Amino acid sequence: MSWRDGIALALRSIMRRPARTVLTILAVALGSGLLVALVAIAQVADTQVIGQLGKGGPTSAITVVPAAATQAQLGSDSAQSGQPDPITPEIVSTIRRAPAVSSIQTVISQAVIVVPPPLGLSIPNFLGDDPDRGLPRTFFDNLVGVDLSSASQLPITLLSGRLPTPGSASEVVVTAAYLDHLGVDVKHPEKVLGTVLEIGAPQVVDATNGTVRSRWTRAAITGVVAQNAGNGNILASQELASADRAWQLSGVDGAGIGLPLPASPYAGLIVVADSLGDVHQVRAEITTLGFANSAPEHLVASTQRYLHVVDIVLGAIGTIALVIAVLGIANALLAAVRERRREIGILKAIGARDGDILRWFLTEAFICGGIGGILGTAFGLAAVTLTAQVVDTYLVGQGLGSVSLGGVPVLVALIGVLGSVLLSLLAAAWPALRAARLPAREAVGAL
Amino acid sequence: MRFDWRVIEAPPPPDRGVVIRARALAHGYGGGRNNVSVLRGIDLDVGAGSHVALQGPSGAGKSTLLSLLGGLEPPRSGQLSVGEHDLRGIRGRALADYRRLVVGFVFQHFGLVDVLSARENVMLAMSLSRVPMAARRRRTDEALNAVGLSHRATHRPAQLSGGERQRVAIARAIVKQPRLLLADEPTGNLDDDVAVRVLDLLDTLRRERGCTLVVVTHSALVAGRADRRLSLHDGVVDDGMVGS
Repeated sequence: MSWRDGIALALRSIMRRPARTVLTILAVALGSGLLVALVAIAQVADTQVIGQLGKGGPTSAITVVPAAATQAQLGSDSAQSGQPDPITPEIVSTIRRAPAVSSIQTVISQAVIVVPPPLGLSIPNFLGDDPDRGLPRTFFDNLVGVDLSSASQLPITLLSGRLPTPGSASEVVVTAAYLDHLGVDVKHPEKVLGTVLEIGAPQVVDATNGTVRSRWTRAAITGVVAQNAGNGNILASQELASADRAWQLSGVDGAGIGLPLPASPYAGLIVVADSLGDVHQVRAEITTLGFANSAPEHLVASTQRYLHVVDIVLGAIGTIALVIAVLGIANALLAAVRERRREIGILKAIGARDGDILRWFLTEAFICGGIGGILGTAFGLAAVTLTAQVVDTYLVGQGLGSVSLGGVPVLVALIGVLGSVLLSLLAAAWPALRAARLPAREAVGAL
Repeated sequence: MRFDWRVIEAPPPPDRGVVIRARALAHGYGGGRNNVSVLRGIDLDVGAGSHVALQGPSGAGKSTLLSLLGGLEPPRSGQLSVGEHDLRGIRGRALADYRRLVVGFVFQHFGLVDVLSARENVMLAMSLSRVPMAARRRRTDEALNAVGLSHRATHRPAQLSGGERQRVAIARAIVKQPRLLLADEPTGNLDDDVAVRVLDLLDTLRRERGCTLVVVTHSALVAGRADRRLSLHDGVVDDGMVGS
């Protein structure tokens, strides 16, 4: 019997018991749907959890600080800092040339005075400001300057609004700590969006009598972020931070009054390794150069091990559900074999080989498994999409970063469909063999 | 109703090599104390192109002999051959080939596949032989036309009368152009008028194709059309009843 005839016969046979067929397909669909949903959710969860360890940037990012590394550096995820050690452009160039380094982002940090709304350009005695009388809650902070055109390479998570335009000197984003300063509920970061603050970069004119003047910049807040690029709560373009830094450097050292000149050109580096597996090697290179650095490599490794266990458990639950479902196919086919003993005998009497009978039943299983697998996979992916939307709405409502599926997991979908078909064929093997081996005489009740 | 047998394509030359030969053929069912002997040492020779009627009371072994001749089960002991095919030793693919290429069955209860139409039931026999689709369609149309069922080709067995179903079963048997046609009470479910026409059809097939026809029947009318009658009693051929 040709495949075409076998498929036609199988389709006719399937349609003979439509209710049973529908129930069998539904069972497979539910099983494969559960498998796909669990595996997809596990994958998304893995990505999100590992991504969270990157704090918004690449998981393979390494933060380099301007300090000497201690001997314990490589055994620790955090920076084991010794004496301050400036990061110079030459050091940046050396690291950039190291193997397995994908990119480097420099970070500039500048001490500033921040004047939130209501504004007052002239602050003769800012330490005496009284918020209760409507005066600005002026505070000292650090302005962190980064290359905003490469923000995806930095440990920055946008919580609300948007990042400043790259190169802008009139836009900044703030962290949740800024909201705390203003007494704004961190669950409503949108309240500060569009407001304008003033940033004053100090310049010590005379350290002996404590004369300090400032370079004032007025900037609009475009967003609220969580960031680990540098130590500060105001994030701006590198151009703005560089200008403020140059202003301070044009003055004198004010170490005696708490305003020392910055020693290191860069407050830090964000070095991105080619992959998670390359992080240790790049950290070793940086440590060899003598700089303390941090990266969650050990945390990621141990988290991955735990996540892998979760993946296995979820996958096993889904697989068990699918196996139970395809056992329904075996049961349905066993019933079909009982019902069709006479037809099997007739086919054999007119010359069907065992293989023809086998093909007939396996084709039925293939069709049921295939349709069930496709329906189940679609159902599972839809369930995951819906779940992700619900979770995303919740997270955003809580002022946290949103969750993304990252597109349709093609591999998971393939596993759902092919797994259903394969398990269906395996489940059908015994009933099909039983049918194929029916003695022609026993089967032909018609003779 | 008119059966137009002549529209069937030109038959192959009669194959005089086909002959049924049984020696001390015995068969039964069960084992030990439950053993039931159905055939007890049958010696039989049937020439190619013969029309043989098998008669006898119920339980005499007629259907069992037909089953052995059709290769549905191997005999327990003795020898049985059809042409060059030794039915004691044939197994697996060769046995399926024998059933497909040598034998045509007409079952008492039709033996049609319920989910297929009349046309598809007839085509099924050729599908197993992987006959090309064009030839399959042509021969199916010819066979259905020959049994006068062209107008019922798309109907399923449940939509056909008993006589029509039997004619579909005959069409399915003859479309393979078998050398040995086995029929178990082929007219048992038909009225006399249709029965005569079915017998005419089988007779024409035998004459024009040179196929050997073995018919199990209780009907004197059917047995009377045979050129040789065998009677089975308690698993033994009663020679006294053999005649032509």
